[in-house]
Formats: sequence, C-alpha cells, structure tokens
Amino acid sequence: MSSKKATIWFVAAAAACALGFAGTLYLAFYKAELDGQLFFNQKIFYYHVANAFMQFAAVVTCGVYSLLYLRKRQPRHDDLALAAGELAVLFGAIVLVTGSIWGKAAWDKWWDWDARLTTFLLLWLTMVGYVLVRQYGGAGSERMAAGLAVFATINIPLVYFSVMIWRTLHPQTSVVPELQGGMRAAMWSSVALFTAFYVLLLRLRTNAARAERRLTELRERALDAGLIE
Amino acid sequence: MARRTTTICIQLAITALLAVAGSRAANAQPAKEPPRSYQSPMRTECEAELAKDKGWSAELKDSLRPSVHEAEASLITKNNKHVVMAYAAIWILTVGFVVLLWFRQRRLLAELDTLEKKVAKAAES
Repeated sequence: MSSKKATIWFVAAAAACALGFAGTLYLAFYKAELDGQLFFNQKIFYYHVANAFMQFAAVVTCGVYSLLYLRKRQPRHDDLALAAGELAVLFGAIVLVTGSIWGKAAWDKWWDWDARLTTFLLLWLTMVGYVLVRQYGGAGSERMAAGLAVFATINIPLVYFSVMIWRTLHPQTSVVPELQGGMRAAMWSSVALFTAFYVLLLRLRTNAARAERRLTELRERALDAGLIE
Repeated sequence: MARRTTTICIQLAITALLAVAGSRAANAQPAKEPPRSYQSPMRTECEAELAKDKGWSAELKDSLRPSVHEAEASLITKNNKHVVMAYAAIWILTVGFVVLLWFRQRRLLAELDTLEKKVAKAAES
C-alpha cells in the first residue's frame, strides 16, 4: 500500500472510530434501559465487556502469530505478535481498572480474590511478562516471549469458564446473550467499535514494529559496511 | 315392588344428605382466635426516654420522613461517580497508549533521519 493510500486509510478508520465512540456512548447512556439492580452504574458494563473481548482477541492473535513465528521464523509474524501483545496489556489494564470500579459500585469492594478476577489478573500479568521480555530480554528473547504468549492463549478458556467451574461473585457468561432491547444494541455496537479500534491500533503498532526492525537491520548493515561508527 | 322402590329412594336420599353434611363439616375452618393485643413492657420506658432526649426523638422522627428515603434512593439510582471514574480511566489509558505510540513513531523517524545523514556523510567522504 502506498504512503498516501495508507494515510487515507488511517484517517478514514480513525474518523469512523471517533464516530463510533460518540454513537456507542449515545446508545449506552440514552438508549439502553436503566438496570433494575445497579441503576446508572451498570453503564460501565458496555465498555468493560467489549474491552475484555478485545483482550482475549489480542492474546489469541499474539499466541497464534507467536506459534507461527516459532515454526516458520518469519519476522513479520513476530512483529504482529509483539503489537498484539502490547494491545493485550492495554485492553487488560482497562478491564482490570473498570472492573475494580464496577466491583466498588456493585459489591462495595475494589478487589476480591474471586476465580474470574484472579485468573484474569494472571492472564494479564503473563502478557505484561511477554512485553517485558520483549523489551529487556535482549537477543533471542522473542522466542522465549513467543512461548509465554502460547501459554497465555491456552489460559484463556480457563479465564472464560472460571465463572462456571467455581462459585464466583462475577456475573455469569450468560448475561451478554440474554440482553434485550437497548441494552443489547449498546453492547454489540460497543463490541463492533472496539473490534474496529483494535484492528486500527494493531495495524499501527505492527507498522511501527516493522519499521523498528528494519531500522535496526539497516543500522547493522551500515556498521558492517563501515559507513557509520 | 312399589314399597321396595320407596325404601331404596329413602335410603339414597339419607345417604346423599349424610354425604353433603359430612363434606361441609370437613371443609369448615376452625374458628380464628381473636388477635391478642400486645404491648411491650419497654414501651412506657422508651416513651419516657424519648421525652427526655429531644435530639433522639427528633432523629427518629426525621428518619421516618419520606424525603429521607427518597434522598437515599436517589443516591443509589442517580449515583454516577463510579461511571465517571470508569470512563475517565478508559480514556486516560487509551489516549495514553496512542500518545506513546505517536512518540515512538517520532523517535523512529528521528533515528532514521540521523542514520540517513550519517550514511550520506560517509558516502561523500
């Protein structure tokens, strides 16, 4: 894709996301019915759950591309895995912070060592570990980090089904499919928006990772050729 | 024959009467006891205490006002503090990530620029 086309694509996608944010906020605050138990505080739910879905998507992307990298040793797979890994940390942090605030509103406590919360925290910490290994691990760390990403991906079903396996404070997985009317529209439009936002950020970060790798390779070649010191 | 028929009819009528009377008796509810009026032995003592403690008396009266309950209900139903906190956190984290990405991109362009200059300088010499 040419530079001009890429810029147009980026501006169009960013504008669509901006409109999407305005639209989902309108749906969540003006169209979705007021919840009978949590009242206004339930509005946190729409972005909290959408971000949790994106965190899972980012971890799966990171895991799949890490596995591909381990098998084929293609740097482009590694660039994508790195970008998705960083996004998994971002979306995971949003989920943990909004979930904690939700917990304070619903259960009157910021944190509980509940199965869902604990397994999710472990998943997030694994992804933080992935990013730290990539950042400070030095040469060859990408393979070690790739193994960590595969491990995190395997952990996702445990996080998702934890509410069914153990008795938890956290709501069940049946809440989202059972939503009706305005709540349903707000929920699924938020998921669509964050999917688009995730794809946009993934593309931006992958391009940056690719550029960083090319720059490093170029510098090494220039050093080898004696062009720079 | 007619006498026998009359006897059977009389027997049937007696059986039916007994059956109806029996079922009514079975359905009849036991008579309810009149409610006993209970008065706490502490009542006089409490009233006397309330009469002495005007502040306590006022507090009790105040807590029974509907507006107090409406205010409490409104606090729960219209509480938006947590929603504001959650959405602020989402925006801060997201915008923070995008800004970091932008700074990283700028640093990358600057490094590329430096490398280009170095290579050009080396080529000239």
